[in-house]
Amino acid sequence: MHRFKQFSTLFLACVFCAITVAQTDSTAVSFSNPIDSTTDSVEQIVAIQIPDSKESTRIKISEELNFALYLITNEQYDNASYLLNDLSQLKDDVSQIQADSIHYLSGWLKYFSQDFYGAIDDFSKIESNEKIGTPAKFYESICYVHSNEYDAAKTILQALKCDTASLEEEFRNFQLASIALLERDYNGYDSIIANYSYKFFQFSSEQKGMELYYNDLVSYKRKSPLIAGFLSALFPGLGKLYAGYRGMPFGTMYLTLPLAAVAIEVALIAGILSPPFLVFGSLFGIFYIGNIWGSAVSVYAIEKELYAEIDHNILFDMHIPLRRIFWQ
Amino acid sequence: MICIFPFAGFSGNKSPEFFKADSLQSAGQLELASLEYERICYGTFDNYVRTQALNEKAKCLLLSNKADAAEANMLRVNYFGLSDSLVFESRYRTAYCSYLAKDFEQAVSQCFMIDQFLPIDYQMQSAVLHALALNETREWDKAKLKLSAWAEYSIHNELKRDSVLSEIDAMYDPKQYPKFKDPNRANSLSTFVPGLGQLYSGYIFDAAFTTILMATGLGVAAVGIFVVKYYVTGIVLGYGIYQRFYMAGIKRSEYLANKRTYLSLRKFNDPLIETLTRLSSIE
Repeated sequence: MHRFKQFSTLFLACVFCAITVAQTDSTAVSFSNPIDSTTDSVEQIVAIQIPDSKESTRIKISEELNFALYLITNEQYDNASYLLNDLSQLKDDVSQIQADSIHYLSGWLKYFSQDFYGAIDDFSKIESNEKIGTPAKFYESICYVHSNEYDAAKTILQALKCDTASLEEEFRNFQLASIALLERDYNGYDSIIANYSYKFFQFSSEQKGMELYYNDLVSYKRKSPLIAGFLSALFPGLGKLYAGYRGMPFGTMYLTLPLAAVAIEVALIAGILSPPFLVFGSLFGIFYIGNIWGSAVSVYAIEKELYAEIDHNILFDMHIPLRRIFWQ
Repeated sequence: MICIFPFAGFSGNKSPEFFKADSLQSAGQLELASLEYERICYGTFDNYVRTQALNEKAKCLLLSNKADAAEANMLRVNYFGLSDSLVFESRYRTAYCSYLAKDFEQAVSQCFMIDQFLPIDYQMQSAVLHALALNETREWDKAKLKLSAWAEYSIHNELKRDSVLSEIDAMYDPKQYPKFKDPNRANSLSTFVPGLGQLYSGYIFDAAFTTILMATGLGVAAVGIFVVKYYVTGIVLGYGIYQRFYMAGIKRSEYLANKRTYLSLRKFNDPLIETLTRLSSIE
């Protein structure tokens, strides 16, 4: 019986050695637990006895990247960020493609948390020109767009190598055309959209939407600040009505007209040189002149508001297909 | 609050994949532990294991003072095919996280699910938390019924039980229930009689101040019209003062009604939290 036990132990030891050798070959080695080092799990024994080879580490990192992708897909962004930050520390053990993947996911997370410079930093570190390189360049360029660095965004897109008549080429043109609109370079926009084929459903609706923004921008004529000021001088609030505001003119009238009435009454009763008229007349004068100035400036303000709204829509329409194409 | 209901004795048997995450949690590395629990969710097809991992992750998030994230995490639990004990643990923890995240409707809803689908033992274990959540949703009568049922069921010593029941009766005396102020009513009152909305909310000085300002506006107009004979000036200045403070008074009366409601609720509920916490330790 004792001899049988010895044989059994020897046999189990041999089986264990065979498993560990097989695991080394298939590189399915787990990391050891840094905290619970006293637990005698098979995983830990394997991890302790056999040092990780570079290849096994890379397989492990690939698994970690899949896990990071799962975290992002399930909106566990804090966990994903923590994991990717950890992975980015493993500089020597990762392959180039893995390093690129880490930077890509990390950049993507930063882009969605609107840390555009952090995202640019990550996307710019991607060296691969394969599957991951193209989306990374698109994301990097849109980060520059959000940071109002249009030249850098255009440089990245123009340096991108795309097949003729491919989705990437059409999408690059779409992005370049959108940037041209943001820069109010209407000639540049016209020359780019001449090459549109509108055959890619992923962003054809945005292409058409961009043309509406273009029409809005081109057809918009800024009102004259001189006319606005003149109208306000004629009748308080009329200048703002001319500029395009609808509620504000009545507020202006509501404030200025009673002051005018008071000033007139005081002038009629107490005289033009009387102290009450000097007070109320000055008060009315300040509001009256301020209103004229405000009407002239409101022409620029309303233009700025319109441009801000259109720019916001352009940026939104640039972002949506980016996600639709590269993040499914 | 985290220390009040620590879930002692809830967790069942765990598979070996929890060793690493559990040890990280014990070592206080909560972020890493949370990640490892999420890894367990990622790596398993077993809903039982996934639910356990989500529960443990919620613990880590609670310990990191992220009650909102813990609640969102617990709402990911799929209750299909789980044992009663794990369903209870998950529902109870969800209710607890929701309570801490001040999502009281969700907490009540989770406790209601326990009442509907789990045996009486579990219903009684969640009764105190249920009552606390009901207090916050101002359903004191339901909270009282819940606590009375809990005392009848859980406290075996007759003397203690009677004492607890009488304490519950005293706490939930309908005459002591806070009377809430309706902001819409305050608004209407202030619209018709300036200052009345503030008075309705119980802020006498605020009401007096508003009334004085209104009277000042009317006074300026009266002086302008009847005394100095500056008709337009009197009307414009008087109306200007009156109108400004009139609109501001309406807004303020709404704010004060909400403030009074909040203060009344806290004044009534805060002592209840302390008492219920003490009662929950009685067996």
